[in-house]
Amino acid sequence: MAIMLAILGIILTALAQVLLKKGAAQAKNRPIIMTWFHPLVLGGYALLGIVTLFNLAAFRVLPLKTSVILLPWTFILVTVFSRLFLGERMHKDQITAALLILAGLVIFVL
Amino acid sequence: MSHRKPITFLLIPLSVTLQAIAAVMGKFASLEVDSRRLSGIDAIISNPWYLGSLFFLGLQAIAWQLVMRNFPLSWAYFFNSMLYVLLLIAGVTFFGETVTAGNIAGTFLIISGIALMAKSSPNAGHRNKP
Repeated sequence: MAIMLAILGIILTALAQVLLKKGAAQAKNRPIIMTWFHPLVLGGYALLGIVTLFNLAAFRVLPLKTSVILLPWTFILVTVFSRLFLGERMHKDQITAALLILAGLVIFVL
Repeated sequence: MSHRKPITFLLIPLSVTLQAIAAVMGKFASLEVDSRRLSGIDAIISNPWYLGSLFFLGLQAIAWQLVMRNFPLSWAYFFNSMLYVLLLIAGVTFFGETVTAGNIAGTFLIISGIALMAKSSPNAGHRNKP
């Protein structure tokens, strides 16, 4: 159960990162205050606020070092979500990097 | 890069440190609050560790948006992955967790993968200019 909550938290974190990325891109030629108050940025941080509640339940059971094998998934998911929602292309290096991260995750848990 | 104020170089380590502090406080909060009960919501929002965690996440958010505005994403993501090293150290220091050689080797492989992913990102060389 704890690990499921943590995984759900990671998926929501990746979605939040896509919102932050999109918000930051849209705010770049606007006043500096929009860096934090662009609606997409606010939405991203609201989602991250919800994730803290998931983490509260998950890390009651999981050791803190589990973060090291959970957080890298955000990089993989952000790449996939950026492809799906932002239309960014996936490069060969990104796939190699994802495999390197997965290898690291396997070694970490062995 | 050449017009960047020296103080902005502190933003990335500051952001990573704030995130690590928030994670440690969040773990302390999770040990104190029984979040499985719905009635525990009052206990959650009044828990000092949880509030502290949110406070440091808020500070990290401010720092991180400035990082994204001032640095290429490849730099930002790579240095942000140093968080994993801090979390391993924090787990041992504050919660008595054990770290194996596999944990350390895996962490460095993960950081290498993130470095490669950040370098190959379509926006790797870009930064958000004010």
